[in-house]
Amino acid sequence: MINVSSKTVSEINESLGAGKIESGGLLGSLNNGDIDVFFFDSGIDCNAGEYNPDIKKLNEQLSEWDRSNIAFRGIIHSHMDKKELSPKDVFMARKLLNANSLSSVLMPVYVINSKSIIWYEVTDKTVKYMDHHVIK
Amino acid sequence: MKQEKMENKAVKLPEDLSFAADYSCYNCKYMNGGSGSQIYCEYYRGYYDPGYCDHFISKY
Repeated sequence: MINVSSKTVSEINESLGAGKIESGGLLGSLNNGDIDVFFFDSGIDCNAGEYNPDIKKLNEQLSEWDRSNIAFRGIIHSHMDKKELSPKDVFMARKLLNANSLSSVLMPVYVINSKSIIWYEVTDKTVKYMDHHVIK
Repeated sequence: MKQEKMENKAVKLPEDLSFAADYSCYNCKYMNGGSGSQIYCEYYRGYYDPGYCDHFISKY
């Protein structure tokens, strides 16, 4: 079970939910491991089936988070209607894990058509659906 | 959930990171068939969730 702040959920709905093409963002924790920080990224050359993160901008933001003691927890991206992570999504999540010696990363999917967030945790070996609780 | 990271080093995203709704079956070579969460498998000639079609092999 993960705790997500209502502010983060609103920010995700207002940004990822507003578009007709895929986009995404970074998820972070400032307090007690709760997901309470979100940084939106419209990406580069995205379309209805592909989100290409603006790597330079996001890496700069991650450096800023590191200085501010905000822990990186994962990346959210949107799909038009599919609620599962694609094989490529999982492959890329594992690439991220290995590049940073992380044991797990959150990889939620924002489904644009239903305006819902499906939370997944990816490790080297597993993809797990995560129950979540929205907190104030 | 504890998240480890390398001490004193910010997480860095790989340069070629990208995400695509690519549910292609490497076995069928069929690209993104179906709707919702299902793909069309040319081998079985039916719609399946990627996790349930035993013919489905991801190219990743």
